[in-house]
Amino acid sequence: MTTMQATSESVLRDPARVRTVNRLTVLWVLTGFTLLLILGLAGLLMRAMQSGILGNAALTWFYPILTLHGIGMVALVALVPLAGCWYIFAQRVPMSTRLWAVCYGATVLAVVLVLVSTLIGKFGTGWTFLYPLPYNSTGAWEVWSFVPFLLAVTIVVLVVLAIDIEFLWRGIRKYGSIGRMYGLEFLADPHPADDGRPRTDLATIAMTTTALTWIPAALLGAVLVVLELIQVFVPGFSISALLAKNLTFFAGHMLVNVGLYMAAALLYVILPVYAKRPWRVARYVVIGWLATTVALWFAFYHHLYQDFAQPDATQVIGQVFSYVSAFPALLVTLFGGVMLVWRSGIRWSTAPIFLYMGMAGWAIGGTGAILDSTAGINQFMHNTLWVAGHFHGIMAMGVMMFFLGTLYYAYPVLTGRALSERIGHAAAAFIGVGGWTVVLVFFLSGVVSEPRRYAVQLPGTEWLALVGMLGAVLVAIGGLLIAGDLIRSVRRPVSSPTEPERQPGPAPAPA
Amino acid sequence: MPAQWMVGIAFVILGGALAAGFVWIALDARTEEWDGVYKRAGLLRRRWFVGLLAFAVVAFAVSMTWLPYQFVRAAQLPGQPLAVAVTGQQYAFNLDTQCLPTDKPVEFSVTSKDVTHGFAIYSPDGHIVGQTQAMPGYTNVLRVSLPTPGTYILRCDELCGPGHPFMQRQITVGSCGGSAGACGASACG
Ligand code: HEM
Ligand SMILES: [Cu+2]
Repeated sequence: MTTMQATSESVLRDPARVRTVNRLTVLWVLTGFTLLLILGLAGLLMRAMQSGILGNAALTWFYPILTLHGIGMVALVALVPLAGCWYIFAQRVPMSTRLWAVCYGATVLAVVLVLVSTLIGKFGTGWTFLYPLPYNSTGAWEVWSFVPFLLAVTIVVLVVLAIDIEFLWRGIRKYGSIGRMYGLEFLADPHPADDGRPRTDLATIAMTTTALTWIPAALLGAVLVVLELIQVFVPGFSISALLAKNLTFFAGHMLVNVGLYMAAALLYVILPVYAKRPWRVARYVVIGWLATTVALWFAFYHHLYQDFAQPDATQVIGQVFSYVSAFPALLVTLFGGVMLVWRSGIRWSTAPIFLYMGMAGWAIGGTGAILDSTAGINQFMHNTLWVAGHFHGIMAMGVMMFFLGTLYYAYPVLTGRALSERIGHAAAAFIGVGGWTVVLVFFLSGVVSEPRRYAVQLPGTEWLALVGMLGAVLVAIGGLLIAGDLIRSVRRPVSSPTEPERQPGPAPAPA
Repeated sequence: MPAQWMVGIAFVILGGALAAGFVWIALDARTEEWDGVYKRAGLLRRRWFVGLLAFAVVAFAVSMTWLPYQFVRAAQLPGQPLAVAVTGQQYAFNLDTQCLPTDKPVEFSVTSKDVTHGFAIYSPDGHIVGQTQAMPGYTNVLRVSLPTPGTYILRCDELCGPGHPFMQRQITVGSCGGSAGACGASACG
């Protein structure tokens, strides 16, 4: 072992640093969970408004709440898996705890900014702030409320960007090159011989993919933010609506996708701990992630299928790469995860239950997505609640289930305080049944052509919103059960983790 | 059958198969050595890949005939269409006609005065039969045929401000102004 490696190993094991890393991670996880709970209740509130039981409140409040819920959840989908990945890499390379603390502070500021924008300013464009709606509210909000919103978006963009850049920089120093982080050597030789240098692993490959795709998206997203800010202050200024929409979805689609793929990295690390089987890099895995890297650049065109002024070529390209992006998900991560569990004799404690539910959510939500990413089908489903069905499937029943699985795995490890398995199982049942009710009602509403983002549902379909609301009540019960257990756990004795399943830190990288 | 139902049925079949697979695997309580599972998984993955690829290629090829764009629709719906200009604005659709024919294609040229709107055509039984975006500065051309007469509703399906869910308009297909007879080329210009 070289001196440099020896030094960095001792830095990583420094007790003060370990404590800071653990505390920061617990802080992120608990903040994320709290926001998830509050934003989930905002979702419940929206379904209540759409069902008509809250009367005219829907007319004033639906769109600000929609915007709050949407941007908040999208930020969670990106930042919570990022926090998990940060922890994983902080075990391997000296990720800066100071930078990460600054990111946390900035994120708290972003939360405040979004609350000011939506609840005080009543900003209500939906999270995508489609140009030029922010400047044309017909009196519902004033343009100033767009400024805190844009600043909050900027913060989220920069937090992910900063950690991605740090990750790449430290990763290159550890692994030697971006190619080694991707595991390109597996392409030439499926079983590369040990050459004494650190070898990549699944989480590193996933994280490298997200970093390389997020950097260009963040830059183009920043261009959009600047152009939009100029128009706030220079009212005569304007840009092309079609260009703005392309930029919005290049960055927006990328943001939720990097969140999903960072969540996959968490799955790669945590599921093997419970299945007690190794999840190794192989050639097809590397190929899959390379395909994902490319697909991510072009799949976003599926958001513009109904913009016929867009060149026909990009419409077809959008469909090709949307289909391509399904392959790695289905063949590498979901197939791999399911095989890891199959006949492993896994003990179904709460953490693997949530992880497994997350894989199902990704697969089933993804099926709805692939159908809708077919341009000829999108003609009939675009901007109906079908869309809400597919992304709640992937994000709420996928990424957020990975998050809850991570929480049940990491919280006891990091704090030494146990969580109740009985409550965990009950919560998983409530969240599973309630969550799928919410999602399936969205899909069904899409089949009957209910538009998305309607504060008031089409006549005769309010009952669907009501059923969705009841599903959301079940989810809320599950969420509150977990919250109560987390609060009670503070009084439980701190024990050092002894269970083999609960060893701190990620599973060791495969040799 | 409305297109949406077929999509729904496809989803129930594919999503249901996936859900059943997940449940079946979770409930399989037998245990097996990883090395053996890993080898079998590799074989299965290769088959799964080939099957998925074949399915995707066929689905892709077929789906190209469903494209709503002019280069496909002009060939599928030939003949001189009735041209209709549509301008969206917060919160109304302006059209230069009130009545559409059943016996020839209709070609909507859709744009917007202010923000981006959606332009979705709802059939009398309440399903979207075609749509495009109404975007300021651009004109989107949507060619459709509307063989079923009745009262259709045009609805905005792109969030355009607080009045969004109320942005709609009725339009008659098939018989103009209550007068008898199908709406032919001359009656509905
Ligand atoms: C109890 C759970 C939840 C309920 C009841 C719920 C409900 C809703 C509702 C009613 C809408 C508006 C649908 C419409 O367009 O009419 C919505 C939008 C949305 N939800 Fe959820 N949701 C929940 C959880 C989540 C989670 C966990 C996520 C992501 C992690 C999420 C992400 C989003 C996003 C991104 C939007 C789009 C906002 C927009 O259109 O601008 N939701 N949700
Ligand atoms: Cu609208």
